[in-house]
Amino acid sequence: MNDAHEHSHVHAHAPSDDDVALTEEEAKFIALKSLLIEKGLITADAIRARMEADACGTPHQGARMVAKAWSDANYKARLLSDAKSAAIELGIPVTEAALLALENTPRLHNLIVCTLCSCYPRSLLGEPRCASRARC
Amino acid sequence: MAAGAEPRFAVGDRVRILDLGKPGHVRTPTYVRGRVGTIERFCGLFENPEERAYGREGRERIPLYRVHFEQRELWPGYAGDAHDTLEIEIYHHWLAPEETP
Repeated sequence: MNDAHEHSHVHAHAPSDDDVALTEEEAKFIALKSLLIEKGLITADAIRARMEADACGTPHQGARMVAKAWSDANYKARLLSDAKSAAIELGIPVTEAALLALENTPRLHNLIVCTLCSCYPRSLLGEPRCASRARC
Repeated sequence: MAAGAEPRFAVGDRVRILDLGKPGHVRTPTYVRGRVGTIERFCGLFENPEERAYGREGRERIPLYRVHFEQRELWPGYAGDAHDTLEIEIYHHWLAPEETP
């Protein structure tokens, strides 16, 4: 966007990202990324590929696995014995080392408490929801 | 497999969580340290996050277990359902047989 024009008029639209000053974290990210690329430690393509892979994860994929288990007892058994293989079986390319599925029953309700240190299954579920982060 | 990396505990074993007083990137919360639980399953062998977090070389893969606790044994005066339980994954070097003081 061209920033050269004077802002003497009222904009009818919400400001685009280009109008907003970078946060400290965004500025750090850009500086670090530029340095890593400049020094040949990582490529822009590698960063883009990782961002694209991260964008594939969504809670809908987990829901798809659960719905399949509801309608297919054999799949449910495979999901409970090896959740990673069960995800891959549905074409979901889980990259985490391991994945465990737990079943809720009328007498047992599981509450998964994730510390969000580094083990969130992003390749399956996407980025953690905003509400579950301490800083956001 | 490196010596000492074989699973030492079986499902159902009673174990005490050690308090290693280790600073840094550890995955053993203070509220389970010193408490007694039951081995729920062996999860497999994984690199030790306490080493991996600092990029150290030559990291061996060590056993990880899921340990089962009664919530009322973890929290004094626990007001929730008496049947509430907690399962948490703990690396083997934080575990000892129950009788360990």
